[in-house]
Amino acid sequence: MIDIISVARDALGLIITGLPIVLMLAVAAFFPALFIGIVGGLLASSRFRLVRLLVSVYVYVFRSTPFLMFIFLVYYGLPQYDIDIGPVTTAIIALSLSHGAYMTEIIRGGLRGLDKGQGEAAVALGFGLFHRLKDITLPQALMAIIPSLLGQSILIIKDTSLVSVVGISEITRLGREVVIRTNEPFVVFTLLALTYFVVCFLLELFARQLEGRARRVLSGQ
Amino acid sequence: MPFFEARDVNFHFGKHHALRDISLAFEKSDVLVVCGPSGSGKSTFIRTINRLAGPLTSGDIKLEGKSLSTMRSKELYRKVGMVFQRFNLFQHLSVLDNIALPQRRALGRSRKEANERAMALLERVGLGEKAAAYPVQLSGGQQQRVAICRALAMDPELLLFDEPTSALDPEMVGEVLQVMRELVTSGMTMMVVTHEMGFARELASEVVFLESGQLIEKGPPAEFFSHPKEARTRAFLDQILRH
Amino acid sequence: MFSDAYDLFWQYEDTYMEGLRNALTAAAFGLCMALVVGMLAGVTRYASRGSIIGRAVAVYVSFVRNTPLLVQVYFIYFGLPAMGVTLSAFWTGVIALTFNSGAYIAEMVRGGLNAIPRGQTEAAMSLGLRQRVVLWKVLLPQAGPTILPAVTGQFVQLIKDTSLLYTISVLEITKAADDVGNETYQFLPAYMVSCAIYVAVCIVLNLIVDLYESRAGFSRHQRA
Repeated sequence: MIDIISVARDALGLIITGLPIVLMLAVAAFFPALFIGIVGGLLASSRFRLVRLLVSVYVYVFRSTPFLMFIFLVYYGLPQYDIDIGPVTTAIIALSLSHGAYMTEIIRGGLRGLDKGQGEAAVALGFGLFHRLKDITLPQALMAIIPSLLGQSILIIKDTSLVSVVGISEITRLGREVVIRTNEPFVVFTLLALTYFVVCFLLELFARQLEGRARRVLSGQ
Repeated sequence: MPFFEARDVNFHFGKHHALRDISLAFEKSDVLVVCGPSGSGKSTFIRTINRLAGPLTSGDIKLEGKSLSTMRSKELYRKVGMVFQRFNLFQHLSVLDNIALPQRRALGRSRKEANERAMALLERVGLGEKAAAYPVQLSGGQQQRVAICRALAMDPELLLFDEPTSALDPEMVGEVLQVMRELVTSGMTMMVVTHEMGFARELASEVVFLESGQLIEKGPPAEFFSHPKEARTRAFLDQILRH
Repeated sequence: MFSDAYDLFWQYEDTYMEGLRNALTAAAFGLCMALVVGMLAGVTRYASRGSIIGRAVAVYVSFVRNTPLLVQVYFIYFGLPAMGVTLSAFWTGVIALTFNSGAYIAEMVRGGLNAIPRGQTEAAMSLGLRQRVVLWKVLLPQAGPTILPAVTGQFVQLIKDTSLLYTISVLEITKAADDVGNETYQFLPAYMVSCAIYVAVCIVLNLIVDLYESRAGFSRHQRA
């Protein structure tokens, strides 16, 4: 019995060390991914077929291939060309590129679902393209997709568990080490799972709240 | 030189010949009402004026002698305003911001000046207390009145109305027509696409009837309604006035 | 670089093909079992909303959705032996995949059922049909066209999920690439081959689904 308690304490200690890394990775990858998504989503409605095609290919490739494979590709593949970056940078780049593809899809859908009439009114009122995007199109698109964006951030957090394969000591890797050491899989993994669960569940609740607010503002459409 | 002149305007929607050889003209402070059955091209015509529909196939539209197809966008949208059938208010902005933001962005007015003008216009149409509200909280009639304020805040020389009351419940049509009536009296030059024949009879300086993309008949309301010259005009009026 | 990858593939064709075989098999078994789990769970959640078992399903789904698949894999991989159950890594992986996908499919089933207008249930009940009949003969068949596309999406996801079996030493596509890379030190081409395999599998799957959908006449108009 006492064994289990000490194991649990060990595990919790490691989770507390590793959780900031998880959050740091997730946040560091979220914003580049969002940026890629905005650029990609806008390019996806471009007049030029080649541009649209390139975006579609990017999205398709990342949606068809597993993240684990991609992070290996980056981590082992780049050094071959004398590009030497540490595991953390690798992880952030891999997460950003991979989730950037999903963000592109989300934003593309958000832009497509917008009321055309608002864009027309903006043109008729003399808004230039930049202001049209900045003041009218993007705010409305972003408001409509905030729940999906938060959902994507939950996916990013879950994918941080995979960066353990390139040696980053985030909580899954640490947890696994404790289990191998102490042979108490249930205690450790339950605590580990609970940690992820709490973080993700809170995000989910936050997303639902925002969705309610966004729906009330936009329901005029 | 007429204030507004459309000469031999032709427009295609893909393969569909939507507007055929339309020619008309009017002067400042005139109110031109465009009517016709669905698909007659009346909305298309009004949208070619402010380039929302696309470039003309042939023909020209001139405002004070200057061609609208070659005019710079900035100038065009300052001179020509539009009120839409579905209002198209910016859902994520308050009523006040809906009217103030375009002034700041397109006309470069200061925030203070834009807000003052916006409030003045809102008061004029009786919606001053709704300045902080959001479009979704307003009724259709109120939203359309705000949309009219938004277009007016730009000080246009010509105001286009694309079926302004068609999307409204009947009891709200009156409040919007009232605002439009005051605009006419104040001397605004307007082109209105509408089914509201009462408005046309009372306030139009000229009524134009379009069918299948062609201008069938035009004339002052008195003549147009009591002695329509063409058979097709008569048929249309019979249908619409019966309701 | 691309020619390297091409050559590498033919050199190590066997490794890659074995990886592909294992991945497809694991995914196929996983999908079948997950379908069973998912349908039962989804129907239960829909039919017994407030009851304990309905809530238990909700907890299961929430747990799966808010924890990483890797943790679930480790849980099962380390947990089963601790309970005295010994399975090969492959089958452990299949169970983990089933556990994971079952929850997502349960949500799809529930969503599909919820989308059916209440009038259908009301009509069926007023005709005297019992709840079980209503569920399986009236509601689920109509929910089918909505659920099917989502389930095929889940199959694609499953194929991607098989990559995690790498961590428990199953020779699937990603591990195949890793092995080839370790042997030849040509990591980038090795992984590009696996990338191409995954994309090819997805393209084929999408084609099959499109063909099936057009043949089976799943048009938008067939709902209610």
